[in-house]
Amino acid sequence: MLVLAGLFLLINYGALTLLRPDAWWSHGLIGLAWVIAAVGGHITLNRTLPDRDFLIFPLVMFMSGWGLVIIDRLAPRFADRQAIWLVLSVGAMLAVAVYPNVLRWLRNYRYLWLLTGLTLLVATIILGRNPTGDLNAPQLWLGVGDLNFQPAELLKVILVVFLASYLAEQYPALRAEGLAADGRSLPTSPRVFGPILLMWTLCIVVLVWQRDLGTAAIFFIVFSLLLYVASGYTFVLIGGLILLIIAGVVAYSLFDVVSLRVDIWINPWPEADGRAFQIVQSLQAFAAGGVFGQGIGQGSPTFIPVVHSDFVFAAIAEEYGLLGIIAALCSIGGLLLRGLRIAVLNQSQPFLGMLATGLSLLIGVQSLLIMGGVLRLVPLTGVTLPYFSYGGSSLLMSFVIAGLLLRLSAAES
Amino acid sequence: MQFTTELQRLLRGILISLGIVGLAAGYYAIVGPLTLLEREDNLRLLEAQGEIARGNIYDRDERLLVTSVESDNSTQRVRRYQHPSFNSALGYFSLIYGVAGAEAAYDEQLSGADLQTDDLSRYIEQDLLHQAPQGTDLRLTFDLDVQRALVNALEANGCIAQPELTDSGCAGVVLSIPDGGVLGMVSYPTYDPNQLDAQWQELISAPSTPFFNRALQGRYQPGGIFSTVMLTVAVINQYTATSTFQNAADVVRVGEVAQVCTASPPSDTLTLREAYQYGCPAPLAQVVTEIGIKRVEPVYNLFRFDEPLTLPGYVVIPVDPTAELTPVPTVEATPNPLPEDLTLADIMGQGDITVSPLHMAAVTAAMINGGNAPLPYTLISTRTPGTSTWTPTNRMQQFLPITTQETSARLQNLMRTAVETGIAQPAAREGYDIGGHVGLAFTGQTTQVWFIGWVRTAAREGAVIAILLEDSNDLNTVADIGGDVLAATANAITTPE
Repeated sequence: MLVLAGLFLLINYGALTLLRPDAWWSHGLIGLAWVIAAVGGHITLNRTLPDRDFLIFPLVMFMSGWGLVIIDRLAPRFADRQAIWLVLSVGAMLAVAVYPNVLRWLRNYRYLWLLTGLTLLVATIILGRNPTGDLNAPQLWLGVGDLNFQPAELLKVILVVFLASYLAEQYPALRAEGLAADGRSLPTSPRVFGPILLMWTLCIVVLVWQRDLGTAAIFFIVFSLLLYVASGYTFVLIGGLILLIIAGVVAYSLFDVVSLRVDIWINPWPEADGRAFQIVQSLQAFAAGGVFGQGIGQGSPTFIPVVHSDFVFAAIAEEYGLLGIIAALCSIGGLLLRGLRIAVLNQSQPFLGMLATGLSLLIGVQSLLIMGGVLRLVPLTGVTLPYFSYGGSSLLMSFVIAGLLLRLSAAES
Repeated sequence: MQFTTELQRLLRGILISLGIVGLAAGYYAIVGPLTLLEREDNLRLLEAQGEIARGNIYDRDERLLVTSVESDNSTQRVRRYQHPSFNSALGYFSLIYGVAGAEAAYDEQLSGADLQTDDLSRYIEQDLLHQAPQGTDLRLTFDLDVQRALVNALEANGCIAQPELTDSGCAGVVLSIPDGGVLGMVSYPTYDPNQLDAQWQELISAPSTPFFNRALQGRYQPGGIFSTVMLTVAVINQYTATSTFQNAADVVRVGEVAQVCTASPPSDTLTLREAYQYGCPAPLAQVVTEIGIKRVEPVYNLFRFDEPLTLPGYVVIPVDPTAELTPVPTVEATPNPLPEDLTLADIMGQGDITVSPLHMAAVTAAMINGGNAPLPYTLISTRTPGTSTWTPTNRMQQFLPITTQETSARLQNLMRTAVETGIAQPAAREGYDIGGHVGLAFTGQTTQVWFIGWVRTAAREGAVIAILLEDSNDLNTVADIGGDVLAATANAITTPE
């Protein structure tokens, strides 16, 4: 499958080179970076984790390679940087996957990780910046010079690690018959209600201080789903949904960024030339792509502002068509299936099972949020499409997740 | 410890969600092209328009007037207008500012929208290979030499193209006889269609209204030039060139305007020919008095002043381009209903009847075309992409019947006399059979001068011209311009191709 991914890249870079012959050397270097990462990763994993899940690495390399091609086509000046991030990300993935004690290490120091994550969050609130320099845009990055990192990406993984560890610890109690030994029914038990409230508060902090609707939504949805898996209680999902709606309504009335996104989600057409320009252009990209797509470099996805980051899914639709979308959905769906399969196979060890579930959900929920937003199924959240979108922090943490899943897959075997 | 059930549910939920995403994408991919892509805010439409290699426009002798060129570092093409002399004649095509003039009249052909290609070919060429659609080339009736002559003559006599330098306008139209093809057309001040992006704001706010095509849209008082129309009335009512009139040099008062002879006549008693020759309005006013306005009206109706002539499909910017931020071009001619009851002022060209230079050129054409005014047109033939053969348009020759052949012959003679020995003498050119007339019209506090005329190259063949100079009372100048252009036109249309 890795070879197929390589062929796919080769064909696409060939087409791009025909369109921009003067950039052949740049295409060659970026392609070479992918080949080095793919071959290096494959050899290393074969040596160190021969019993790993055989699909995860080819899938993530395929998606990240496709993303690399699209970024090179949409925003060539970012492609070199993304290629460097890809090499670093594969390195980070290998480090996580190969290090034998990583899972124990994560579990044993979970409070330290949580503290680190929260410290980064607070640091972002105080020292945050935006790489574009726009003071009105969300200040979600920490950085030195030209190097920027989005701590929320790290925080997502840390929270999943922490929650998996916490829920694994609480698992016997959560699953105990009656749970009402302390006189409380499950819904009002602090074991359930307490963490929900804590996470909800954390999400509100993220939303209020950082105006980061996407990250807040991912935190809360992933956590609610994890709690549901751990407890098996449907109320958790209903309660989580109610709290999400309440937060949404409050945020709609308090924050312009939220009300804007909800308004243009409900009816973008009157403001197609103004506030809803991005989403309308995105929908038109899907229409322009049709079933077979316009072909790489032949469409006009660059009409969509920041298409290489938040709207890369729409660019795929325009240039690769519905067939490309199905391929992308199958890739993401395949990764999720493998992740959840690892969770099932590890369920005898709750921490490992919950961790695999949480990591898979992170990828799944984030993908669904942005794909749904780009298609106007849900309000836009401004998150990246894992592995495809431009963004170093996002790519790095997505590969760390892949590394953890690879480690977990080897652990179950 | 097992949570298989929850994971299965979760997996089902995720797969259903991914399915919904796929279905939504499928909906937009399949239904979207019929709905979303047709929206005006779809920038892809604009981009696709810009990628079309619009057809070239040539003059009647196949000299290139307009072409499309690729812009730097882009698949977009821009129009290049080759000759500044045609700036006001061909209109413009711009992705930002729309399309006007001849570019708009033949937009379907130029953009290739009229080409009949089967779906498979279109799919292979455009959707699969992304080849830019090609438009059809056009050969128009315009003649580069005539257009240059018209522009040169106007500019040499004070007409200014740049809208920032003047408030006064000039207009001229040259039609070929007998078909009515537009050989030349100028409206000053005008704009440079190659510079719209840089100058648009200044152009739409310029008081001299450069987008206003004076030759087509202008509605001017005809004034003294209506003596030719009145002459038609007289001839139709059995007056002859030798019919004599007393007090022929008297002043004719119409409203606040006092009309007198343009040139001093030799005596106070003049024939109809002499009255026309010297531009004396009194004999013509006497004709109206003698036959009565009721008999004048049917003749005036023949000239169809109530239905201003325009060029088919020729899109022009509305009269007041500053009324809206982006003026919407229109093909509608401004309605010009005739007054219910004609007055002497209307008949003498100082009332409610107004005319455009194009209309006056067309009715002048009737004088050397057996009494039939040809309806103006501009398209001769088309050439589809990839071919070298020009296909003539299936155009049916249309005429506006105004008078009989005999009457037109008499009028022709009178106009010839006016050039040979009368007030239009500056238009005379040795070796050319030229007839014409000049007239002064009053508009508020200002005056404008007209010249209408013809040049004959063979029986019922030649060209006609109508020239108008705003804010001028110089009849000699306008006649001189007319003479220059008519002579140049005669040379152009008789030179073997």
